[in-house]
Amino acid sequence: MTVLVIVEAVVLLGIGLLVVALLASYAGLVERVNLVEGRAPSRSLTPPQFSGVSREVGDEAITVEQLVGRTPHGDDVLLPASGIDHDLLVAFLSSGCTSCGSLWEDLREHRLPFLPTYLRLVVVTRGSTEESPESIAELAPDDVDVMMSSEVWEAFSTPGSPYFAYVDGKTGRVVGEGTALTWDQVLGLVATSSGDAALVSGVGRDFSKPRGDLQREEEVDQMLMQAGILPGDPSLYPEPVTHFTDGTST
Amino acid sequence: MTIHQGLGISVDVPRGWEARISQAAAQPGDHPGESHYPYLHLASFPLPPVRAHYGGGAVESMRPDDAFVAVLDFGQDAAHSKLFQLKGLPTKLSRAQFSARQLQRMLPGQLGSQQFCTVNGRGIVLYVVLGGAAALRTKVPVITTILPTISLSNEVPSP
Repeated sequence: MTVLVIVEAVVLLGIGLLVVALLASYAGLVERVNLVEGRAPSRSLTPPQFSGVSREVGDEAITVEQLVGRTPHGDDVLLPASGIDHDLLVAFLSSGCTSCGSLWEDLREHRLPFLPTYLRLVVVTRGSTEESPESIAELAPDDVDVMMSSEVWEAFSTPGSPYFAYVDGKTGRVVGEGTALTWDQVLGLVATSSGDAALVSGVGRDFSKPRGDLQREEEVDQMLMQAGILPGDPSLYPEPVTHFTDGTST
Repeated sequence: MTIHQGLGISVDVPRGWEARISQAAAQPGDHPGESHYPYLHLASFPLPPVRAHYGGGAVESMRPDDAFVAVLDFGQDAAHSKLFQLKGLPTKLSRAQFSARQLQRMLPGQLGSQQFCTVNGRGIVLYVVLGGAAALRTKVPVITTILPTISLSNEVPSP
């Protein structure tokens, strides 16, 4: 009887593990399908996933010489991506993806965070066979570089939208990439890719602090970023204590 | 060099340079029959998305070593005027052709050059702005390699 119970327990445990593995696999598939189809990830609080390193396709890193496309207003544009003295932040957005809506809106309302002067923001949508120029023209502000080009999407092997790539302007090499749902999260990509922690910490802009404090803050920022904790991460903003164990409250 | 073409204009763009081929859209206040011909902008620095034909909005941010090139189409009517009697787009520019007085808008330190010519029966203006004297040595030789590659087709796209 005891042996039967043990065998039954082992079988149940095995079935349980199988179910958990299947659910995890299904969740991963749903996540990837959402990303490819440009829908919002199922976990809205997912931190940005920036590699911060060059992506390798086969044995070769992705490098780009230029971005060629057409603006929603019909201008033919060629922007250099290498051999230049500034870096590029390429934002792959689309008109249909739910997550892109607030990013477009922030662009129109000029609610972007501080971007360094060495960085040029270029928004790239798919070309006019897949996106309506009229729709993009309505979404895009006039004072931001927006081009339509499926070729650029292919060149970056863009998995879906929203997606961001940081290009080193000297070499044209993609040195950082990933998804983000807010421009503050994008700033994290910029900080990780450029090594400019001042962008997210404010270090370097606050001259009233002693040098030792600034250095410690920078070290902490670097450690947090290396641990995948970027600006806006919920863990940085814990719930404030409102009730104490002795029954009093604030 | 990368060939960039659109709206009947083609050009070989050197590495690190930006090119935009644009055509102004018809506006409600336009005179009847008013034409909007395409134009080419080239620059060794980032061009803002919104700029005037002669580079207004862009030339203000030029550094001394920067260069801006505009090829502007004035249509068939202009080609018959004496101002545009030179045949073909200039293929080289000399330092002597640059001065502050050639600028559409005079900005401190900048130099300009404006050439009028006829290409394929259309009046064309070649307008070049240098951010400063430094660009005479560094950018004018590059512009001289670009000019022979600029091609303007016979057909003018309608706006």
